[in-house]
Amino acid sequence: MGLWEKKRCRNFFIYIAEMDFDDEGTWKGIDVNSQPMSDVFKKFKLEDNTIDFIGHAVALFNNDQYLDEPASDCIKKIQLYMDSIGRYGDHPFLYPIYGLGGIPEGFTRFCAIHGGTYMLNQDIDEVVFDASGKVEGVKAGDKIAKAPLVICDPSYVKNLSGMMQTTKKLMRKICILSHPIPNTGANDSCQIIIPQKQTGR
Amino acid sequence: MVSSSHAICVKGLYVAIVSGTAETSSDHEEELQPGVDLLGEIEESFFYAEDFYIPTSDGSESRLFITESYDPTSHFESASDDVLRIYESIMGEPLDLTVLPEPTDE
Repeated sequence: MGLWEKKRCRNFFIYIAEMDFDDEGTWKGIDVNSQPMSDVFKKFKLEDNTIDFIGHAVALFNNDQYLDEPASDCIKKIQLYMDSIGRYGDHPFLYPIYGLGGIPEGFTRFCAIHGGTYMLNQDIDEVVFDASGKVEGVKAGDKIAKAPLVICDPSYVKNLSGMMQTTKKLMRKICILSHPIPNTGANDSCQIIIPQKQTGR
Repeated sequence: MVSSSHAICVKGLYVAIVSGTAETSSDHEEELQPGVDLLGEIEESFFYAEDFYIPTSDGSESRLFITESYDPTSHFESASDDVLRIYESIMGEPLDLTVLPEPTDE
């Protein structure tokens, strides 16, 4: 970012930090509840690359629709990012020790504390329905666990036709490195977001 | 990228995951190249492509609530939104996450 763009960006972030949705004075002439976010970017005369960075790497939007939508949503996401920095370190993210498996582990512990039963490593053969099409429970082998409702991820219902549709394909590449990612300050962990425009595609 | 400081691998190794949504129908692995190029030398890598699923109904009739597949973002923003969506389908109203002040001792 050039020096002048840095100044404009700094003014933008100060505006966001001081934004109070209950105090119209802080809106500085923009109706943040109805005007699109692109109007806010125009007010601060930010360059396209800066907007790309803010929208995708700070507000964490997956596409550019937010530019045409009311600014309040995007502003709240940027405020969340800014508020999260410094709470547990000079970055806004939390990552569990021992990996993401810690998250479902935490939920199952919470479930057990509240009297829930959980089964580990148990495949489900099918979801059981009654005659009217309402779920009755799940079946594993010849055992059925009955329930008034069932919540599951797509892998449990792949054999039931019509339950899901596929809208796109995803790709993942897990890479083992013997060094931290170059040019990231040799940190032990990092998140890199590449907005589509930056790939020239 | 995460490493031994989060106790997910031995000291000296770093694990980076490059992920994205396929935009072409042919060489998916090549589509990840802009991200892979940032990594420098790679000891070993594992690639897979998978379908992204969304449920066809909100489950209110069948009481079977299905989540969407995890998307390729490396954070849980979309997964959290999906959980909130399912909560609202089950309970009939959105989850109220307002933090109430702690009751003070009199």
